Amino acid sequence: MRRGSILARAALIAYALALAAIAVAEEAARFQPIDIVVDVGAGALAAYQIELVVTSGDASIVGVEGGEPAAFKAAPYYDPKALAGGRIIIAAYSIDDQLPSGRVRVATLHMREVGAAPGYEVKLLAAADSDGQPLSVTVEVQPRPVGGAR
Amino acid sequence: MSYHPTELDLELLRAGEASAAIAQHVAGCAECQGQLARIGQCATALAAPIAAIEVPAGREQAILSLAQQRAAVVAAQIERRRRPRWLRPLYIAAPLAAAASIMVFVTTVRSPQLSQPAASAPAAAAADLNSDGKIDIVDALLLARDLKRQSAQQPQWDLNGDGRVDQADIDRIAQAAVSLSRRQP
Repeated sequence: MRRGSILARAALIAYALALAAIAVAEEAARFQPIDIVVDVGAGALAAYQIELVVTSGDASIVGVEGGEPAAFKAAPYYDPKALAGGRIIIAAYSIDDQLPSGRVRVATLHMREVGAAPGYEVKLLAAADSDGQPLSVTVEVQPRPVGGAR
Repeated sequence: MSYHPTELDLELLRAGEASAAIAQHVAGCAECQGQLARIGQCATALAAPIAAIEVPAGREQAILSLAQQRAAVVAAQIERRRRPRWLRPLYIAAPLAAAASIMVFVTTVRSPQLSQPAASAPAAAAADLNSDGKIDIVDALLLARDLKRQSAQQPQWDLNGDGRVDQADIDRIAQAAVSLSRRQP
């Protein structure tokens, strides 16, 4: 009985502290989608592997979404440990007949940001055509205007 | 193998279920042997029964006192904002809704390909299909392409040991490629 009472009070205390923390932070935190865009040029992208790291500021990864072309519509592979952290490796492949070329949004990461705009560093780890041959591509991150078109 | 085994691999080794490649690596790697010993100690400690916890009355009072102080601070912050009374229920509903939204978002947006149990790093030699010395998404692509073409498949590509080469083996390579816990040689 006594233990139950203590647990109930502890739960209330934890809830109150969580409310307090949310109340203090609610005006500062925001959710920001950032697009991962690669430029394949004339090549046809069949696979990519990209690492993103938060280099400055306060930001954490809260979601991973697929890209624009049908070949990369599904969410890429990633390590679930990356969620709520500041580093992630995403990767996807496609064996579709229609592969994208030119500038391609291959994925979107959903970030929770607090305070000033954080810095992101993105690094291409691999990119290949349908034969597995390396492609020369560039990769960049583009914060999406919140409320903008997808 | 090119990489140190993951903690899951080491736990499988401790349970006698790891592959020969992992066992061979650990046998020759002092770092992994140390990690294996630590996992064993941890497992032993966790197996011991946890004693019942009784909170002393003085500690309970101290916790309640801290909570009351914190609640007073929160109440003052809320008062300063001078929000309408009819909005106050939102202070309870909004955090709960936000938490629920985040949970739904994370569970629906994440890749269905990762809904399977986390895989350990496949044996590097078999998973490195293009023999470039690293396991990455290109290896997964090559295996997927061969599966699609129904090309002659190598038995060593059965990375999860279920007797067939299929999508699960491709997923295993891809998951190893994006793993944050993988340590580079």
